Amino acid sequence: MEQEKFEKIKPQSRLLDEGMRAQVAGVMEKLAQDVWIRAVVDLQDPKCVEMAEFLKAFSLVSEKLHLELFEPKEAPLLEEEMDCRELYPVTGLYLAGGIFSGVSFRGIPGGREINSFVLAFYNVAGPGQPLDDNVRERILALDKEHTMQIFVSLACHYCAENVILSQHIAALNEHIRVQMTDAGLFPSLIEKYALERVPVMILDEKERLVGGKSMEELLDFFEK
Amino acid sequence: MKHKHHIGRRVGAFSVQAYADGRTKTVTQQDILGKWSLFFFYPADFTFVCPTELKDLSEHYEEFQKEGCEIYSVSTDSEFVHKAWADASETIRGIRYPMLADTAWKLSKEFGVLEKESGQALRAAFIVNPEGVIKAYEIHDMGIGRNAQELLRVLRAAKFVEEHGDQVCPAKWQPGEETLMPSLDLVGML
Repeated sequence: MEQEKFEKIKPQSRLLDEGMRAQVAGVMEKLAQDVWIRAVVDLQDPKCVEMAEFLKAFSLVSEKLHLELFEPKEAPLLEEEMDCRELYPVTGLYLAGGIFSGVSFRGIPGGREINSFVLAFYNVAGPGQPLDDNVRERILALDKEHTMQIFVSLACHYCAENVILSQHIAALNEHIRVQMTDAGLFPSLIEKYALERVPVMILDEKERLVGGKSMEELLDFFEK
Repeated sequence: MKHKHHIGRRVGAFSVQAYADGRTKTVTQQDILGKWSLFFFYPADFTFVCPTELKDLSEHYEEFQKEGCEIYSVSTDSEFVHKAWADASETIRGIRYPMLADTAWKLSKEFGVLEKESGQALRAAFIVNPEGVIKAYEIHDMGIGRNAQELLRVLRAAKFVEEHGDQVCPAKWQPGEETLMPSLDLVGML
């Protein structure tokens, strides 16, 4: 990995002021294990640079966070794992030993999505948000491979809730991958999936679910 | 009327005559169940603004049909007056949706749009779901016209909410706009 080319990226972000850093640090100090943040960024794209700067600043909040940046096509297996589709920036959360958590983000998790971004670490590395026993059992019982894309708008309250719940499922079940996509950054995806409202969940490129959903409704969707 | 507004109110039983496609027929409450309906009230046949609105609606009729929605225009004229109007006007003759004859003011009262002094209905449009429940409406004073395209948009929105629930956000995609400032609120979530 050639991290030198990313040296010019400064750990700075207007999305992370002092108060926000303190709140994030408070969550990260609870993590039960370290998390590796792996992101693919195209340094020719200002949005990717913004994301790289954000991630550098974010990863400095806690010693439990480790950041690895990649250029497009530098790590093909990583891109496949995170379902990059040559649309950047894409960021995935990994555990020790290079284990992909199944949780990834396409775009910059500003607005309401900062909540899903921060909680993803908490759910991936533990201790994780509390769950009813029957819900946990349903999550662990999912035994088929699924990939879900959640299209969001950063100002959308329902979107962030769906991302948090769905990525919690992914964090607990190795068969499930859930990616948040800020649809506003990717017009080609808006056109491809004919998006008019958010949140929209696309499962395995086939099934579609629209609107804010409960954990039970999302599990019904996965179990269908 | 029990409600101060009409949203959520079920359309009661009715049976009226109608003029449609050169013929008269009976339309009842049973006809509106199982599909979406647009009740389009107007004051009277043989007026000037009305044919413009009815033509606008007629030009969008196919799109309403594709959405599974029947259009019913309603005035307090009889079906025979509707026929006479169609005979006299090429515009009205081109209408394919049923023109209801609310001569007993049953529907105008049911929807709360009757102007008793004139015995005419206000300009109003009601979108009714397949269970016969009013989901959206607009009521205008006599001189204010309506827009079929806007009614089509409202119909589609009503269908969307019926199908997906109301927990969605409208999308105004503006690629390249500034990333929204974060708003972290994890109270009760950890």
